[in-house]
Amino acid sequence: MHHTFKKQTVDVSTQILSISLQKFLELLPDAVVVSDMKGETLYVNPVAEKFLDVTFSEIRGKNILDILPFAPQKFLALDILSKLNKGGSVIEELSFVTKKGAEFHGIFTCTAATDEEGVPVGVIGILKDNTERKHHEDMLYFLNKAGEELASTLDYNQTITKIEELIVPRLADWFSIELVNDQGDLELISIKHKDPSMIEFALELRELYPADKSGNTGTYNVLRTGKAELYEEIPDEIIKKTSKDEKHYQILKKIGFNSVMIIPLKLHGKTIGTINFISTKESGKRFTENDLEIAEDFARKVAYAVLNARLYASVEKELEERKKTEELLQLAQEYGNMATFSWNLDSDYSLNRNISMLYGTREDATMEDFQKIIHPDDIEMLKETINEAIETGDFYAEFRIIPDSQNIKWILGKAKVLYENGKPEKLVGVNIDITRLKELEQKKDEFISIASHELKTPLTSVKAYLQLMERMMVGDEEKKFGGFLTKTQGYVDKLSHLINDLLNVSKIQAGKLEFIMEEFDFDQLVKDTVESIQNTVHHKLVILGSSKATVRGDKVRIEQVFFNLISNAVKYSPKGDRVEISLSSDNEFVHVSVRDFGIGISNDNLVKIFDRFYRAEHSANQFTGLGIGLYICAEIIKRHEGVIWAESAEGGGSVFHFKLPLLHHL
Amino acid sequence: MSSGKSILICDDDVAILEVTRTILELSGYTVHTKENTNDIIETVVNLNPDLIIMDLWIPEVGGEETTLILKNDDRTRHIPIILFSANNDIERIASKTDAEDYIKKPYEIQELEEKVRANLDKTQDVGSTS
Repeated sequence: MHHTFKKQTVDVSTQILSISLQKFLELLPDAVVVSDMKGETLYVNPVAEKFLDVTFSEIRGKNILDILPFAPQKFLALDILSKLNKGGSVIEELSFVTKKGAEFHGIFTCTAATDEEGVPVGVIGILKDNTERKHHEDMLYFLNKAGEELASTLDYNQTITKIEELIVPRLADWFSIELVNDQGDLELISIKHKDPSMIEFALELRELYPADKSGNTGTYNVLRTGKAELYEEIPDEIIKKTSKDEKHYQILKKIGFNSVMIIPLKLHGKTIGTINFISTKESGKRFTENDLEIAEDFARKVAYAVLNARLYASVEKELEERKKTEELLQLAQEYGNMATFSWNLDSDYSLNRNISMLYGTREDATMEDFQKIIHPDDIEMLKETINEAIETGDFYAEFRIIPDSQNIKWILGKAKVLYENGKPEKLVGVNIDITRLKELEQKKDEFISIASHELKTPLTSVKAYLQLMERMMVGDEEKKFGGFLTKTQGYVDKLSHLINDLLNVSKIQAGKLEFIMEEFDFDQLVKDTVESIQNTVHHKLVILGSSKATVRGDKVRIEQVFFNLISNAVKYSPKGDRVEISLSSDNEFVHVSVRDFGIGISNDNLVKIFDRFYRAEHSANQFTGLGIGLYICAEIIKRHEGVIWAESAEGGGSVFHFKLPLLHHL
Repeated sequence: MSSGKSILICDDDVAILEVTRTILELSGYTVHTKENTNDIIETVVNLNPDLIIMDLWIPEVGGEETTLILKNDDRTRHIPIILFSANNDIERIASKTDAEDYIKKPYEIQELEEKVRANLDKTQDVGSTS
């Protein structure tokens, strides 16, 4: 290309200067346009040629205003020319979209060239291309803003939408975020283009031509290396290399990649995904090293936002799950007529669930609230049980409540005391509505009561006739049958005891076991009882020692304790021939122990033998009985403020001990 | 030991009535039996027994209530009543009523005889002092 000034002078030095100047202008990176005051073009340098998309020869002598493509530019040029008519300079900041559609930012400096008299004769315009710098500034500003956006909210989707809006199309034509999933694949989290149909297109393309996982460029490579990739320009070869077939190549080419940045998202040194900036020929934006630096900084913020969002999501998920569990638990409790409670022992604060349904109170009812609906007859018992629980750690009570005037409900309370630093802190447990159970139990008690009465009625006749026979026998008859009759009577008594046991169990359960207390000679009672039992057993019953004391108690019931303990001793020592009943006393108690030489009781069973209907498992088939004798014994001794316990070694016989408060020594 | 005293036994169980009657008759008492408590006042007024043995569990009007009725009537109030029951709590129940004594079923003949005699003796005493 050859350009020359319109000659005004011919002197040599001026010519040299002119040529030098011309060379200089040709090398200048800025666009230079020289015109006369009317706008007639005198010179354009190569940069300006390119910028205006004309050659100097095409434009020479023509008015610059005719070449400028858009009305605003023409208007601006006209304005500048008119201003420069008086001399001086005009500086304008220019931003526009080029004919090809690319953004352009620049500084346009116009200076009037004057003659010797200072009259403006021409204009020299220099346009400095600032597009990249402007782009870089935008990058800095808007990515910062996007970063702030990330930090300000936990709403993941909303945040991403905002970020996309800040980035596209201002900083890039395409923006996407990809994250690694559990399978190690990159998953597209977000993709943005100003045209939604283009997004559809991109998604389809992605489906058709998935990213190459083993390629040494692209997102998977960034994922592997943790290093960003920057393609300031995308030459055709790269597109060719990246494309999988001719069709793919044509598509990619059509997209018109201009510049690409793929930046790793890193958390604690691990790459968890990429953010991708793509510019197309559409905007003509070019990403530079400077942009990359800013984008990497932004990527760090995105990575932390992802972390936060994931944490938040997992917390939300957990909350959701907890809520679901809570609802199920609530339902389960409702169906089961059950409430749970946690009661702070010192502050009367309670945290309950379903208490309102059971009690008809507020959910956070206090002890005071409860006292109003607990059956007055059960309040003292409950208080005592709670105090005991604080000592022992376990709470168990069955009590009645009156939630409204029409109803009485039976409640079973079962709880544990929680300790903090050895101090009882909370009572935590459940309340279950056992009204129905209690009703059934009552029916059962009634049944047992009737059954035992019905059983005793014929027994009464049998016993009376036996005695009559015994009485009416004479001479030989007595010798022959006397022994039989005594034994038969003994068995009738035993049957009667068993029936009583059955009845007593149901009474203990109903809390209706009555005691008739009287003062009696303890040793005498033991002697009488043992004698009566001896009639029915082969084992030798031996009384060792004595208590020499009187006791206040229910004779019949204590007799029953002896009857049960000795019967057990005999029953569980089938090979033994002897049961020892030892008596002694100290200042406070009479002590009794019943020792057998039988099969013994294992440690596991030892703690349970006083439970109702408990029978040592292996013995169930071997030994008959109801499994209620020891339960009744324990209850009777307890009601006499005594203590009962057992010691045993499997195979080594058992000793049952009890002690009862004594009244005085004889 | 014939005393000529008469005893009324109320019990809904025929076997018990029979054996108890036998025992008491052997002791020389005149024994009336009744399987229910219907028209109890009339029966008692008519028979005018010296002692009543009253079962607790009798259908319709039970022994406890019948005792109350008898002890609230001037014509029958003076007759001692012995409650008669297989109920383990007979002693407690007896103490709540105005019955003079109780016998637990199944009973020892000796106990029956002693309690009958003792309560008849009491009426004797009352009778002799009035």
